Amino acid sequence: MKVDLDEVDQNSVITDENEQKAVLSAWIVKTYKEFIKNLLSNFEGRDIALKIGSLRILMSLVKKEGAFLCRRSKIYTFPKSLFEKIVEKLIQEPSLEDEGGALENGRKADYDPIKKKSVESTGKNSDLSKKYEDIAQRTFEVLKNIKGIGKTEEIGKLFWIAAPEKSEKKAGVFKSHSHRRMFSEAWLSLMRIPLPVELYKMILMVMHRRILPGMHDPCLLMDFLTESYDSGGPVSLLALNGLFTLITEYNLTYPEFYTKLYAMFDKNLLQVKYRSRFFRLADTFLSSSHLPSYLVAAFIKRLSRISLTASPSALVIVAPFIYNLLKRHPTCMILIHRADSEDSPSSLEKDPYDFNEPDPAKSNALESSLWEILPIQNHYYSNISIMASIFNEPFKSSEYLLEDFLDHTYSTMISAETAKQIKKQPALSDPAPTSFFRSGEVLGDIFSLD
Amino acid sequence: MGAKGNSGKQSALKKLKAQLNEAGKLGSGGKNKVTKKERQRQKKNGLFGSGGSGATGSTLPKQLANKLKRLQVEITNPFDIKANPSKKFEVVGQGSGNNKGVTGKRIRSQYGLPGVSRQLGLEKREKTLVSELESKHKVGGIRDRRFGENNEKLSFEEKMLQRYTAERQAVSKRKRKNDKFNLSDGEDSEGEGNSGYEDEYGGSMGFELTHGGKRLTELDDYEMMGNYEDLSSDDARGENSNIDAETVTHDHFGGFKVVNSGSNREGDNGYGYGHGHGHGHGENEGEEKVKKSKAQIMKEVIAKSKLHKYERQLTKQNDLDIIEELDDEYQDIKQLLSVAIKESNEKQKESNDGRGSMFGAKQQPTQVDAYDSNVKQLGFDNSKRANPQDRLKTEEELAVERKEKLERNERHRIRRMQGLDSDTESGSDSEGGDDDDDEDDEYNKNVISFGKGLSSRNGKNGQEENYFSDEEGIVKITKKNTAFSITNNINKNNNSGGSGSGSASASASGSKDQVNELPFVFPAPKTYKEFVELTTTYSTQSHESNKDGDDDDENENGEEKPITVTIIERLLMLYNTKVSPQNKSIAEKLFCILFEYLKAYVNNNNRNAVTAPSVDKRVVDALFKSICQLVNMVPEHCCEYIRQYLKHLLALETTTAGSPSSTLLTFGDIFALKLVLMVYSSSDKHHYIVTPTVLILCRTLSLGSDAYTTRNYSVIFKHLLIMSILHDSIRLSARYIPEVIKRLDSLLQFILDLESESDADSNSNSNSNSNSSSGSKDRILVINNDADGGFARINFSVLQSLPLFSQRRPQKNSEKPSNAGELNGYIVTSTLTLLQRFTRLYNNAPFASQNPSFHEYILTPMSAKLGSILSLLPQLMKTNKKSKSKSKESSNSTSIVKDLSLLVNSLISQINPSSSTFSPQHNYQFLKLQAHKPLAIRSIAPKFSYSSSFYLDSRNNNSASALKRQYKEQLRGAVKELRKDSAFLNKLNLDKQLDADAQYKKTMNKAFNTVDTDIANTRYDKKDDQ
Repeated sequence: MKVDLDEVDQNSVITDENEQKAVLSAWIVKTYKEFIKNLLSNFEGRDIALKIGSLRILMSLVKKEGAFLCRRSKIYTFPKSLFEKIVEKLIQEPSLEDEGGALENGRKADYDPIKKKSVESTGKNSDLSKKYEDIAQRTFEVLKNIKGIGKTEEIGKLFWIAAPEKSEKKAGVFKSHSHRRMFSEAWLSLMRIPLPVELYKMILMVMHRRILPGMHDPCLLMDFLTESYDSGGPVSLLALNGLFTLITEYNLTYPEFYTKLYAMFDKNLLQVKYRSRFFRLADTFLSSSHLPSYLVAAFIKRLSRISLTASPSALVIVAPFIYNLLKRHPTCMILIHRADSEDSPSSLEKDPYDFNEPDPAKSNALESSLWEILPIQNHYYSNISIMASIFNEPFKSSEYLLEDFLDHTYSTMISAETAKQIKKQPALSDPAPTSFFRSGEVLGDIFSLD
Repeated sequence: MGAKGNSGKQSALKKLKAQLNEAGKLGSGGKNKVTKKERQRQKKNGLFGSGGSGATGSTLPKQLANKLKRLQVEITNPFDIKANPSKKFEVVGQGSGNNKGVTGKRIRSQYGLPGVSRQLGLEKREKTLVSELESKHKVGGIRDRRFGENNEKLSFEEKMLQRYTAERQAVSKRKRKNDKFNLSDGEDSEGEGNSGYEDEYGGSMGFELTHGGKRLTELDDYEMMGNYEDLSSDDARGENSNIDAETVTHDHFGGFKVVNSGSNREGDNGYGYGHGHGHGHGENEGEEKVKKSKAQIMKEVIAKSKLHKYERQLTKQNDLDIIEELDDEYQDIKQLLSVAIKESNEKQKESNDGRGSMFGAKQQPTQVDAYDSNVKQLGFDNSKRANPQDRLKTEEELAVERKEKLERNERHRIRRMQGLDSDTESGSDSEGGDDDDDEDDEYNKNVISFGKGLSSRNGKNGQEENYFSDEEGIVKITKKNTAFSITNNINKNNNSGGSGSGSASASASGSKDQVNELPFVFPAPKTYKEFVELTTTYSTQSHESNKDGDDDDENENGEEKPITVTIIERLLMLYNTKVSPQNKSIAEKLFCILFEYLKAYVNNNNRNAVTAPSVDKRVVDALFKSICQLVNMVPEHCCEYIRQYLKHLLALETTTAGSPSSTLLTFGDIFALKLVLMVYSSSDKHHYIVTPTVLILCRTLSLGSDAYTTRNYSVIFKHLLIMSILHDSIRLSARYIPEVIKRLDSLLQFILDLESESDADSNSNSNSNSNSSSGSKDRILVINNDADGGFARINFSVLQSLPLFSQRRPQKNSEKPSNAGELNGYIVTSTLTLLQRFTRLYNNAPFASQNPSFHEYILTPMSAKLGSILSLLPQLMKTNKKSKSKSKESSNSTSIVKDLSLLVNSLISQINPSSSTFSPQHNYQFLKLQAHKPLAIRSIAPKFSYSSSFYLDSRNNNSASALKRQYKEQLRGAVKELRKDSAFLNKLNLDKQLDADAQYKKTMNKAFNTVDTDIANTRYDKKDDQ
């Protein structure tokens, strides 16, 4: 810098005041740009403190520049180019740590104009960086932290760059509408990228909380969601949530919704970690008392069938879930109790229910009986077997609160078991073992220590 | 009451004066006058008052007392008055003088006088309690019962008169009662004397004797005679009151000549009457008879008394005889009583030789004491009490007992399995104890059998070894036996012969020098490290010594392991809790150490890689066995420790939970959990230890599903082990384990996937060089036969050969292990075995009967896979066969294929009974889970009670509650009174004590004073003397 100044001094044989000014301002502009470049290049380094510091300086520069522009043009202007540069750098730099991003996002969340701009620029940037998955990932991180503005919400008065007093009120910045459009554009542009599965899931997870409320037109997401829902597997589980919001709040009609929901009750359902989320929703979907009983019966049969290989943490959900269904739809009680009558045979050779039939209407669930509950009632974990025995009791209690059963895991169960106060010394086995192998045990058949 | 009005600031004394004045004015005349009058009046009453108090005498003092009382109330210090808090809104008329409100309820007066009431209470107590206290513990005393002495109302003359009367009466009474000749006082014969007195007093006292309402004087003489008895008789004689005239003449007048010995009563009667008739009618005749009869009577009496005496003596003699007899018998019994008692008895006997009996010793009180003390001693000495010795039970009884015990244990187990409470859990505990006892017995027997020439130490060790080898059924000659061989060659030979080992002597000779190295008594290891050091030092020693010896490697191994085993066994033997209760803490430590050692041993952490390449079954068994014994010894501690271990496992998994493929249990952990499941009753519905253990195992099983696609053999083998352990733990209760079903399914899938791999392999083989081709073909599936015809079982060395054997988290390793074919073979065979066993278990389970839950839902999908495996097997084995043909085992492999397909076929038929010919068709019954009584429709109609009106009810309730309240009040009052009483008594006692102390002090002072003066005097005298 000093060198530059010297050069300027040496070169200047300037006498004219205007010219002097012009030279000075040119030099200042040049230095300013140099400075910004330096600051931006700091992002490439490893020092987090340096990054954060430079980010702060940059943001204050944005403020200053914006204020200057405002003063000059009398309308609200935002130093777009500078800010875009910053955001681009932030997103593209692979070594950028979360801290920097969090800081930036934290700031942005407070100040609306910045948000608007950042959303816009991010959208553009993500357009550019389609091929980079990690960039998409970071874009997601950035976008996730931007809060959408509700339809009726007032634009906050506190802008990052103080708005000039006399500026026109008409400017788009002051309308929530424009913010929402920006927001939607940013998200949609992100969604257009072929996303990695993990990111896809994450977007779906934040969909109904973060994205949908801030969208300009939520129905734009309809295709995205239905496609995800149809794709099956955990993705469809997650899409269900957004779809549910669309259906309930935006009047989306979804053909064969229950058939698809029925298809989601497959063998993997009880193993995935989003199952509690799913069951919460499924409970809502099946809570209507206007559902036909064949449908409910099919759901019950299917759920109990897949629970035959489920872990206790899933089984603990299944039993109250089925109980609630039976309670809501007393016509389905025939599944657990069928009185003898002339028109139906007293015994069967085969379960009339067809597990592989995709259409619940044709699955013959109502002709069947809920035999699947019997092994569960004999489950090795006594709590589960007790839980499953509620079907033997009179249906006195009202519906179970599903929320109490959703968040169990092996660990919570084991720790609960080991934390139990011992009231009575546990019983020892009767003939005390004298050897590693006991007669009649299968261990000796497949394993030997010789 | 003007005085009261202006007495605001006067002193209390002045107030009192003023009030007294006023009261005096109010009364008639001055106060003093009144009292004087009263006193006079009282005096008068005391002297002359016939009834005690006249009309004037009663009214006047009452008035006075009332007045005084009123005065007292008024006089009291305002500070002594306590205002009772009353209800804010008083009922009208409540404050009236009557203490009852409008409602008739007793209400508290507005003002209370706590001081006065206290004073009253004190006075009352002083009157009652103090007198009681003084007369407490005092029996007798003098009571002034002089007539009229305390009665001031009587005049002197009256007093004298009364005294005289009483005196005469008393005398007459005495005469009647305590007549010299009144022989039998039980009979109340009031003869002539009585009537005489009555006659005597009759006139003067104005009494008149009547009979039947008539005057006696008016009665005819004979009549009177006839009924005289009645007149003077008691109730007891009522029945004889009517004696006919004949009897009278015969008995009473002429009958005295005939001695009537039939009944005492009659005789007495006669006597009484005759005697009493001194002034009767036939006086002359009667006098003669009396004289004669007197002598007779006396004779008679004497004779009678003699007879009585004789009879008494007779009975006494009889008693004595009986007692003596008893004494003799006692001598016999005494032998059976405790030795100590016997000795003391003998001493007693010696000292009291002459009598020799404990009983009948009236004349010798000391003897009685000795006997008493003996009895007491016997009574106190419970342990020495004559216990019948346990009868030796017969064979049949023992068998029945054993059967009953087994049945009882099984009953308890089933109860627990059904989730009910078993009433006693101690069955197994006691059984463990029995085991120990048995061991001890065995030990003793062995000591005896080893017999002569052996120190007890040697014998003990020999026993241990014997025990061990018996248990194992393995021929082993170890240090102890060799110790024998040194001390006694003959013994050694016998021993080895007994255990049936030919090679005994050879192996024994090799370890001669160890005998001296391995001590028989170890200090108990306090930490795990100490124990490991203990085992390693001796094992290395033995190793070296074996090297020196001529044993080959196999022998060395066989020789070496038992050192750890013997160390463990000896530790258990030495520090058994039965030996001493202090060993409990040692046993607790030992349990922790052995538990850790087992894990580490299996994980190869503390095994010497050179000397112990693999796990020795004997060591594992010994560890299992000893840990089980320890659990029986200190169940509480073990339970706690195992729970801690489970928590530790859980924490380990939750903290390091990362990739879903991670199974953090090591093989050591699996072994330890297997042990836990074996030690505890694993069929229980809920068990404090088994339930979490099974959960942990199932969790491990549910993790690592990607291991089947990535061929992570260590995970798969762990799963196989866990599944078999789970099967064993639920083999009695047949509980459903979804995780196992899932895993079995994925294992079948794994086998199916082998085919595609074989295709891939064959493709790759064609490309790769020919050298590896045979090897890679070999890798698909290699199944070996066991020695006894079955399939080869997974050896521990196989597990050890797995990559990262002892690591908690098995890494994903892409390269296949070299013996993949063999591993696959193991997987195939053990999967099929497991599937078969689980199918058999669940098929017979009650939950799978008459419903499709198990067959159709679970097994049918599997049977499809099994079918394809069946078709696949020959192909897989063919590649195998090709390679094996070189090694001359082709025939073997074909037989294996046959065996395998047989197994699969049987499985399929088991799964699909419909396909097989013999089993009937399914007959599924619909569920009837709600077969209980239908629930009543909930009614929302209000409930009416038709019994009675509300008011009646409430009144009843009120009376009941009133009674309750009353009772409560009374109780409270009584308790309060009692408390006050006790406080009063305490104060009294304290005062007494203080008085006594003061008195004591006074006397002491006096004494000191006199002593001092005496001393001074003596000194003075001395000085004077000098």
